[in-house]
Amino acid sequence: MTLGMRLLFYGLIGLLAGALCWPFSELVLFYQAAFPSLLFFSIVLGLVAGLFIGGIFGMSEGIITHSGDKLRKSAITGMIVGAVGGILGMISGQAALLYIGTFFFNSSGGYKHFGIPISRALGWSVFGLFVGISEGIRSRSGSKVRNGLLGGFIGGLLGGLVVEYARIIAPQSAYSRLVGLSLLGFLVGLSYGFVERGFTEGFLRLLSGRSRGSEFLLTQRKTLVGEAQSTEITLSGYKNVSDEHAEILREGKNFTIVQGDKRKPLYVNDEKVEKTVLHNGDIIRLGDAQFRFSRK
Amino acid sequence: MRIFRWFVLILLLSVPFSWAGAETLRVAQIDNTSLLINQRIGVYVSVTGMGGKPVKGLKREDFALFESADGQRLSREIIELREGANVTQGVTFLLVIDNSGSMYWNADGRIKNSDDPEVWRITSAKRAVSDLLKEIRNPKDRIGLVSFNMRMDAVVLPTDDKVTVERALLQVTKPPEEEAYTELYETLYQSIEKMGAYGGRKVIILLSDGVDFPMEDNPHFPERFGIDGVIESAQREGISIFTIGLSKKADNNNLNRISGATGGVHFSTYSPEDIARLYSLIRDQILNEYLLIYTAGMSPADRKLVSVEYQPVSGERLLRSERYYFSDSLFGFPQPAYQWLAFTIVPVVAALLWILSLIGLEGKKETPTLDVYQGKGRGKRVQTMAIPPRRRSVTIGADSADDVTITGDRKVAKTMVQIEQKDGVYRVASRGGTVLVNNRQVRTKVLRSGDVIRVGDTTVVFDGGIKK
Repeated sequence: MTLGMRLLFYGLIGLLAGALCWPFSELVLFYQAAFPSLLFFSIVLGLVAGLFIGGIFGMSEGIITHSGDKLRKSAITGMIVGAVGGILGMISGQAALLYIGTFFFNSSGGYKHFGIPISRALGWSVFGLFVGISEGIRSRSGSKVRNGLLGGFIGGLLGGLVVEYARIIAPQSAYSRLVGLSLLGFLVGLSYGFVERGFTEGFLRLLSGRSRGSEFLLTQRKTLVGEAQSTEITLSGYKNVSDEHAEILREGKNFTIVQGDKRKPLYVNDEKVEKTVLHNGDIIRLGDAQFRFSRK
Repeated sequence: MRIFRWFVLILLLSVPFSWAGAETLRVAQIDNTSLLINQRIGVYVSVTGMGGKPVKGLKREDFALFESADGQRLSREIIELREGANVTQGVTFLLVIDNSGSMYWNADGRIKNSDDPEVWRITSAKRAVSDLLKEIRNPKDRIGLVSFNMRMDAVVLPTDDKVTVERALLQVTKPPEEEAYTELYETLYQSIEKMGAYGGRKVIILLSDGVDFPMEDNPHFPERFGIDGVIESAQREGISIFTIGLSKKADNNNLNRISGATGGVHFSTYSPEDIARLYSLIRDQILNEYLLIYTAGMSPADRKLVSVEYQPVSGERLLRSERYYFSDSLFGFPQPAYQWLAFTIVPVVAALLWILSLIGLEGKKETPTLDVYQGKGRGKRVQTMAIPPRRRSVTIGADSADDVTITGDRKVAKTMVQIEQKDGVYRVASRGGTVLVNNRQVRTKVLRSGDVIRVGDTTVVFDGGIKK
């Protein structure tokens, strides 16, 4: 998958994530009056929204690398982290809405068409921000946190405005939140693909085998490559690949590859290596899997 | 005798009138900052009695509290009552100045066409405004200005910028003769409406020399509310109205009634000490407000109405004051009826995710392929050639007869590379010129899946396909 495809892929994943959490959020909203307090209500609503968005984003890496095990595992961790992010986001967003909204409510006449939309948009962007960083935290990627922060903020802002103005223009519309949540998810997703492209210093492209064409961004300090599910770049369906076959270390803009298993050879440009600095265009081979390393 | 009359007059002027015995109740402010933390709402309530003096020593049981989200009033238990709640919020003042023709007469009305502003009643009114501006030292206080005769003029909405108010005051000038009407009540009513947009403690100060003198079918006030409308809306909005009379002819009875019913005070004439007293009285009222704390309900609403009731000991009618607070939730209102059909989106999302995963698997091809990339850096894929399994030989070069023809690369001349297949093993061989495979110059090499052949600025990636 090329980076361009990656953008589209993540955008769509985000959109679907937002759409999926919609019917569940509506259900919680419908029973708002049954909750004992606004705090408890916000926790449940945030949990439900974060659970599904986080779960789907967690699945995304699994879908890209066609790894069923990874998909299940990161879907579950994604749901957990997403739920925590959703809860924190919903509480902070609600607090922002109440605080800013009360300010407008008490101070200006046109609060319905200006103050409240702004308050809601800001509240949503705080919520989006937390949702956006969750996937970055789950995948322990600093740049994903950074990007999710930005994507979530902008996505929340737009989503919140959609919800608010839909309420003014078409109060009976049942789908404003669906559009708002999908928009939020789409922008968070897009930011993962889009902004990450800007921040990444190097990436690997898989040239052979069943996952041929996949691209792996080397954003972390240490990226493990191997057959084990715990690795960041998981190879399944390749022969002669060890559990932790190699690790790529990033120091600023420099990348070094180190052999991870003494019994399994590692090749760079068809030469056996134990440890070497990577250059743009280097061909890395572990077992049957062959990658090309590229700088941005 | 004469001295006695003066004495009585001075006595009358120095004691502010008040609506005898009347107590008033105002919801001054609602604090929702704890709502998200512990579901508590704080309601600041001001109870005033004689002369606008705060009524002290009330207990929790003296009040009843209701909250409504959708018109249905639900009784709420007051958990706690705090006395003398120490509040530092500012006060929003709106000065309403009568600018009818008679305001340019002298105090007793005998001199009606003097050119000396010192004589005019309006000068006292303006002086009162200046005095108040000097008195305001709390930076959180806001002040606005309205002048009126048959219509409202020179409207400055409450601001913390005193200069704006001073400037507006200069624009209050003598009206033409025909604008002789005094729309006192309707102006007050509209002023209360304007104050509705502001939170916190709100005060209107009316400076007038006369009586309400409405114009029939006045186009500036198409809808009329009268004195009862003024009192009712001021009570509802929690606004106290202080009134200052500027002539003996002022309608002291009705001005007394308005101020008394709204927690304000009527001064039958103006002296500079009145403003200082008025201001300290307002401060005193604020410092003696009661804070009622209750647990808010959870009905969905963007704002909720809190209604406080209080039965004065003197056996007067039940007092009630109401105010809204902001209670919106982040995701907004629920649908009136839950649409279970919404859940059909779940299988739709699942199906689309599945389709997305198939798109990702596109690269999984069974037959061997050659992908050609041109350009620097990552390069752009320009063509893909599938190698049929029985094909023995593939050539790569600039010649149109080559199987993979490379155009637009000056460093590629004629046929550069030949790939031969024997028993499923592909071997690459150079046909002259520099050929790199995996960044190493080679003459011949057995190709592995993923090998990168480089000729000139063109790269060709070989993929052996998936063996069944």
